[in-house]
Amino acid sequence: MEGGKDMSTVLKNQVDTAEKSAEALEEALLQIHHRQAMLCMDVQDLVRTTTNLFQQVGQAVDDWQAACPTASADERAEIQGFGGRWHELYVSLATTFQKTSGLIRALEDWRFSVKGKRAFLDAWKELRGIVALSPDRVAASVEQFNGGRFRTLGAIRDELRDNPV
Amino acid sequence: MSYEIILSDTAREDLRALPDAVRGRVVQHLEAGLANYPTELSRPSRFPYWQKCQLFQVDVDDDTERWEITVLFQYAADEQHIQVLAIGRFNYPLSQEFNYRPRHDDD
Repeated sequence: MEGGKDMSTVLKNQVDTAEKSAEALEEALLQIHHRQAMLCMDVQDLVRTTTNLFQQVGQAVDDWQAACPTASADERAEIQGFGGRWHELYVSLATTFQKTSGLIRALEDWRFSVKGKRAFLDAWKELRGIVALSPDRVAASVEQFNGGRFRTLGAIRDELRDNPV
Repeated sequence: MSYEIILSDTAREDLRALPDAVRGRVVQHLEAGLANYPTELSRPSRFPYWQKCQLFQVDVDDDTERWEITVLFQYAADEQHIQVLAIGRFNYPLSQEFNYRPRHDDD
């Protein structure tokens, strides 16, 4: 009888300890969920910020393109020189978009949905198209056309067939 | 009306730099798509040249990767030729496609 009382006390202590552990872990899990939710909010802010930045840079580039044809010859050289700076800015922005897209993916792995994702992805796709082109190479191309250095697509296709890369 | 497509030396280098299978598909898109429906299949470019040009974009998948191809072009003054200034590319593993496409409508 006495042994049973001892056993009961030991088991009660073990049950109490297990309950406290469960409560502590519940609390820890709640804190993790809370931190994830806060992170989700921060990423949504970042998604909105990067998307807006892309639109703002685009508006500035539109203004730059509109100013070039109407500028005087002296001004135009300087204005055209901004092209390289815009490209650098777009490349930096692309790095941020790449990182942000990884964050969206991580949040979705946690079953969060990210507001503004569609607009972000549309902007990101457009941005990838922009940074895939080099202003210097495009300017060189214009010079090549002006100098008659071009070939038809058909001729190039035949050349590639006869002399594979 | 069908346009004849011409490429600068630089654009030709861009095309040659693509893997064989991707290049073949890009040439098909240029000949069958861009040459015949340039207005419908392109939009004004915002960058990188100070003059607005036109952009024609296609996605080409090979076994493991998606190739996003961006073709920058201008209409020639004779209105019979399309001048390709550059062919840009951005490729990533198809396994990461989830990164770039909405899985569902979220907003």
